[in-house]
Amino acid sequence: MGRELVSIHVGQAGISVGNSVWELYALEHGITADGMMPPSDTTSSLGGGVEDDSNNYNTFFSETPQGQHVPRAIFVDLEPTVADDVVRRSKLYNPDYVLTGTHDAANNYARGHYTVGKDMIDQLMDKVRKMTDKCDNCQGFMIYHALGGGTGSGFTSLLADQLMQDDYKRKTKMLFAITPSPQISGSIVEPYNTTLAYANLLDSTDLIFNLDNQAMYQSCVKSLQLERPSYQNLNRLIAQLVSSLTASLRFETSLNVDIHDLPTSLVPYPRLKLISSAYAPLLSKSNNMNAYEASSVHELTTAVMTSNHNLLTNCNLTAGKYMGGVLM
Amino acid sequence: IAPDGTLQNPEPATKNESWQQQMGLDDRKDVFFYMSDDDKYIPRAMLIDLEPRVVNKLAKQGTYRNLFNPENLFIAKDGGGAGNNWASGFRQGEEHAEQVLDMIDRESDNSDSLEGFVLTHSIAGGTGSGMGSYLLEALNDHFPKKIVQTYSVFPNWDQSQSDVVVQPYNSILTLKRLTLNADAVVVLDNTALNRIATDKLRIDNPSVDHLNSLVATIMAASTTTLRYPGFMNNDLIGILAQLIPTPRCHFLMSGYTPLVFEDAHASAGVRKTTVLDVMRRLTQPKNIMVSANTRDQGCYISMLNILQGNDINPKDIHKALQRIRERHNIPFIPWGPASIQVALARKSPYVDSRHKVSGFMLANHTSIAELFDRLLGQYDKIRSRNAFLDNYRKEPMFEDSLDEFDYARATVQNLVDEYRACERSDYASFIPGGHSTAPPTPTTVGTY
Repeated sequence: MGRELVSIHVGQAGISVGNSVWELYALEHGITADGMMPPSDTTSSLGGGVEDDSNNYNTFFSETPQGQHVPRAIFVDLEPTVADDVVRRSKLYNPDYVLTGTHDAANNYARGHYTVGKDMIDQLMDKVRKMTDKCDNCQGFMIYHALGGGTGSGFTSLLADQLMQDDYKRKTKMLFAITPSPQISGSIVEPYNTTLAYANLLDSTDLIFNLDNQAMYQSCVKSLQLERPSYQNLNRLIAQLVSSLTASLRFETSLNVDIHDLPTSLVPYPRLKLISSAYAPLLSKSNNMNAYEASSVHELTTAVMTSNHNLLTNCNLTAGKYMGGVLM
Repeated sequence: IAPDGTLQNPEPATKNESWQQQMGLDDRKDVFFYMSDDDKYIPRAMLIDLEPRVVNKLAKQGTYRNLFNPENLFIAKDGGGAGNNWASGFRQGEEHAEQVLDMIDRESDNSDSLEGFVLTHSIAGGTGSGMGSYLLEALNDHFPKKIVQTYSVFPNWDQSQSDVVVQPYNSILTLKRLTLNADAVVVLDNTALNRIATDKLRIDNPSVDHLNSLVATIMAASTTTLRYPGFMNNDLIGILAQLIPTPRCHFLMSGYTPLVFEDAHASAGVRKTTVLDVMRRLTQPKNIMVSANTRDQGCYISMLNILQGNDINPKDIHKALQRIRERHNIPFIPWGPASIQVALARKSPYVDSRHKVSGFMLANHTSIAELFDRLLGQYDKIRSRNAFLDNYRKEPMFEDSLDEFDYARATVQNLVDEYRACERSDYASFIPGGHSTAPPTPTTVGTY
């Protein structure tokens, strides 16, 4: 009995983040770059002994009879460059679920939502239906996108609206939104796109995780001690975050937290669903900190809840108050 | 009985046959087990959950996976769980009612003379509280004459240790059903269990398994007189009747001594046990598995001690009772007999234990109202802001109005008032809810 999650990656940011995320998932479940899962041997670097997994990877991967594990992911963009570059090259993803258009949204919410988007949405909903039909029991959707661009903001709002329909109403919809940072700006019209997107998304989703570039750069520089973090580093950080959220679904623990539990504990009032996130431990590899730091539960908890260097969202943890929190 | 259900015949730990065995009144396995066609013993148990993880783990990998009847494991088709949401658990209970009640019917028809049901659940989560509440109401409807006893796990005490933000909502809604639809509730409390595990058993980080084995000890001890019958207390109703004066005051505390774990180092815990010693320890608050202060406030409504041992002399018991009454000032209610009931039970010949005498206590004490009071406090805090209610509003029960919350709160408040009134001598003239405006719900069991 599977409890699957479908991921939808929208726009350039969404697709790049998606690539890192799936890389991490594949690694966690012992799946190689072409989708095969070699039988786990006790000498594997994952610290072997993943006994009878009881098919926990089914949450994210579907299995073909030939033994290939295909991610349950849909990649959509209104222009083909990034998708071609990143996704079509890899043997892991099913090319059927990679949708690209020809004219992009030009950093314009309206173009993404109305003009160009509406041509694409039918195709996309078709793919979504196909994918959910393949699942035993789809628990929800995870949508990755950026709020500053055109596709990410406009097209995602359109998608979220469509997902509010009856068939998908009961499913949890979580958005991993890359929000514009205070000091680092991707484009001049970011504020317009973001505001318009928020207005729409607050009503049609369950949780919105705000992740922003500046906070992540800071975390990388301060905690990981990387001088020049690249997008790849940031994407991998996001991937770790997402993986922790779903760890309970994929691995056996004594205290399980489901996807449905998350909105219950985090959202006091219907519109207050913007979540800040933090991750610990972030230890620098170059200084070989792994050898010196032993992370106890106490340290991790303190770091995640009070330190400003482990954040993926730009907010000051010491000012303001916590309304709800989930510690995974 | 071995983990796969077959009967073993190990050498009994004691050499002499007890008089019960001589009389042929050996242990009664059929209270909790029934025999299958291939001579295996199957528990009369049903494992119900809305998400597959825990049940699957038990069914596929547990040591006891061959013990349970696979037809008695129920997992909801859409495996989504209740999301810590009482209303969602309740709704899914309604949806799956037919299947579940079918299973229950089948098992009850299978038995000669069914006395009642035992429900184990937590009241703070989604499935245990929501679906559990639905089941309590359904059992009362379908089997009105059968006893329903529950072992309910109450959430952690301190504000800083609650696992679920909405636990006050879930708890109050479930408490209403526990008050009105259950006949006896044994209250178990994670805080107290943790405290006992760390203090008495010297385990630094008690895991869920440790706590569960404490609960298992309690549950086994409370049913010893059913399974190893003697002259008295051979059925559940007999035990409960001594403890429950009025239909609503049926929340019991439990305690057990001596507590040792197999892997605890030998110097921890108790070495020599006598009847007086055991009975004295049972009255100490630190052995009780509920975090209520029994020493300083409130009084005992009734207390039942079940002493297990193979060579207990009834004279020792009388002496112990006398000594306790002289010295220890255990406050009892003013309007009833102030006595401690003692029952004797045999130990299992198959389990080797280091102690000659062990004791189990079931008590009805008015300070349990403290627990409920605290829950009401937490509940009021978030309810006054209407926080976290959106998820409840999405479910059919709360779509139109949130009145159910208010009824539930009124019921719990009445319960607290009643327990407090028990401490006074004019309890006989107590009328509950004299000032509340909540109308009675149709499934009221009490006669008020």
